[in-house]
Amino acid sequence: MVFNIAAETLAASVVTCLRESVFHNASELPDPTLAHSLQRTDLVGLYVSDRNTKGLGGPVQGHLESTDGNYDWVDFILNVGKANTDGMTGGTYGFGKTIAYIASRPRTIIVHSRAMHNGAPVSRLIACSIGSQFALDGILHTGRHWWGRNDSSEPVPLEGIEADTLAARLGMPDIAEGSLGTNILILDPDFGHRTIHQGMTFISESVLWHLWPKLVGDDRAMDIRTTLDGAEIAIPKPDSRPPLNHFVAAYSALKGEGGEPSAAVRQHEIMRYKERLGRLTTVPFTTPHFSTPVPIDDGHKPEDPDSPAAASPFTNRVCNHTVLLRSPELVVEYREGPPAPKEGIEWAGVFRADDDLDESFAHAEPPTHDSWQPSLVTIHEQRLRVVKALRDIDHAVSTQWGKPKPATAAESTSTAAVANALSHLVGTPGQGKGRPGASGGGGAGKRGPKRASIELLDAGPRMLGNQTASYLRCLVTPPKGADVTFVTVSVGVALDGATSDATLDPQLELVSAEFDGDREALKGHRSGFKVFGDEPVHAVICAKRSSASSVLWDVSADLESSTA
Amino acid sequence: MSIYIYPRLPRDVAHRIIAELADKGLTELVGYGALSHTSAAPAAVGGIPVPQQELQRIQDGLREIASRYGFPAKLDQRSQQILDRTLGTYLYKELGIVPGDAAVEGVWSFLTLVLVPELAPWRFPQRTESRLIGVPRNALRRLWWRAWALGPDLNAAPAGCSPLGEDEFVQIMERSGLSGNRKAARAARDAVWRAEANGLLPILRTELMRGLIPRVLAARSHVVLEILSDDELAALLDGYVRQVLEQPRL
Repeated sequence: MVFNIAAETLAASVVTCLRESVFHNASELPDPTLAHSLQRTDLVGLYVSDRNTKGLGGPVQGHLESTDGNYDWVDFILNVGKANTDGMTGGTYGFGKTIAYIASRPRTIIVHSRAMHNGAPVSRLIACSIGSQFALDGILHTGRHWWGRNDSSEPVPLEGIEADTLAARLGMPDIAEGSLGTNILILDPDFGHRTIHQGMTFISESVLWHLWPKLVGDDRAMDIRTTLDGAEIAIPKPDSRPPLNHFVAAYSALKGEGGEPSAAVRQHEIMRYKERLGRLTTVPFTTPHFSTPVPIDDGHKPEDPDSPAAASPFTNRVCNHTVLLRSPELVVEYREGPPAPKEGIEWAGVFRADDDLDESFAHAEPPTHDSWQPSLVTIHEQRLRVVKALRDIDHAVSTQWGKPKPATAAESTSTAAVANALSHLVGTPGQGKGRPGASGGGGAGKRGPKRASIELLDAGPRMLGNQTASYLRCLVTPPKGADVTFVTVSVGVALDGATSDATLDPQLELVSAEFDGDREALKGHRSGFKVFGDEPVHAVICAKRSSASSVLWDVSADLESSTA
Repeated sequence: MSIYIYPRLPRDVAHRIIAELADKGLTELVGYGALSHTSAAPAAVGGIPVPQQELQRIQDGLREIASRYGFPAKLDQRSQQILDRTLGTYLYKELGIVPGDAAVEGVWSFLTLVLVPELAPWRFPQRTESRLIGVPRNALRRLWWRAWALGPDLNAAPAGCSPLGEDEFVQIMERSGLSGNRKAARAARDAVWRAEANGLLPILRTELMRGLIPRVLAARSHVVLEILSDDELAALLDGYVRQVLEQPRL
């Protein structure tokens, strides 16, 4: 297949031909857009042509039955807006034919095609326009116009030598003798706030980003040329547009053409029960350093959000995407997955649906062919395939590239550890996970209601006469109905983190616990006291120390004595 | 010397490499040495990625040291210590890596598992994961940090003193409160050396270190060691050394 997309500033002779021979009655149309376009001195035409295809065959009128079931001409020219029901063919005239009109400011195209009809090649030419509905002389019009043979009230095309001659006058690329194909002239194309040059750059870049599976490999399935006023605008090479080269690598690996296998390339078979839905290959790659972006002027300006979209899906964006492909091997979508967890690493994936199941995936495509939406599939079994495939693709890439599960408390530096590190300064132990042997907070972690809780209120230095000391104030809350609660207190000299050493300071010793107006003497580095009843009790615990130590406290409460 | 940033090998890839190399012999592992890995890349922000020829030079340098200490023959404890000191000094002097990068696991995973995959299994025949993955106890990472904190020349020692031994390094380096504070770490080392130079110690020097380090850590809770002058810090530490030496012993 050969495709040409050529933007031409139309020669005066072509413009004259358009005004006088084709759209001679343009000024009579209620919508003045076409007439305006034809008055432009710099009128541009976009010629889109294919060769080695079959052209638009079949009958030229909607009420005629085709001898061979071919209704291409009628479908393309007359049934504008009719959804495509063909499976397996990449070409579906649903959206494509409408976009040809939409791309034209006056919504007008001229179609020239040579196809086999009733066993012989036949050339046809017709001009078509889609305007707004209007009423004229009391008759409602759909706004659709065709310019074809003058002697027919039906929209029928010029045929044979007449069609080819007019096509030549309109600057249509020649369809060689014995060859079939189609030319479409999109009149006065609207490049959407791009200059004509930017527009053609956008087209050639888009060809690469969306048709690259057709362009890579030795047996190129498609040849595409883009030109502007006769000068070629080369379709860029995949390796010149990173990260596209990595998608190509994944695609080659998927096709088994990857060259040296690498441990980093992962292949997944996406299954549903025993049926293979397709295959997925992902490759990781490192973000290139200091890469100078290729200057591409497709009208997009990164700093201007209102500028036209870039052709590349990866403008200022890391690559963590899976390309979705089915039989025609046109990129359906760059489906986003999770970014690789390590900075500097990106990944590219390619999913190719199995040919046997192409129909299921084709039905999931909206007219724009740019995603798979299970909700569009009416056949239950087919829908489930699409759902499963998308889910498994997402699952596979998430498993491989998604964020690792949060580290367990033991590995992480919880804020409790930080609190502990700082707590030495005031003598308060931190609470929470990450603190070995933490006992503040009582019930946390242990099941059952029969736990006393301890809330640490504050701590600080204190003088006992001439002796330096530290105190800790806490609220002991016995469980409901408790008779006796044992509170255990340990002290040590604070070291790193939550570690302590009771032997470093010879003066370090527990002195007393004051609660409920009582004062109970404590001694040593580990001691305790009893609280009676189930009413909450404020307690102040005191330990003497040298002037050069900070005390790390450890307080716990239990219904059984642990110091006995 | 130039400052470079180093490739970072993701942990999952590191695990895969460890599994792949688990049954390889030491000399066989040499053949797995490489200057790059498809899954390893330096940090995406700033810095000069270490050039291949530089990695080649470091690989050669490390292997030269290994062969000097008899690779692949089994190391006795004494040779292990000298090897560690030599490697630490070499890594610190030659890598041209900044602490920010040297604190990243992936960098050391790359050096240990990709650049010189035979070295860590030689030094640690058990091939414990924490020595191979670039965590703080990694075979190479710990040595670089020793040299950063206490070097650059780990074999150096004042007259009458011997270089620090494994246990003494560990006393300092595995206390994060101290290892990240070069001034305090070096002051502690110097205090121990001063005691050693003053004459016979009543205890093994490593026991002195074991007694001293907790005291330095305890002091950190109420003394900002960083703002003491060198003399003040030395005096404080000498006091702790005396406490340890005067502590009644059984």
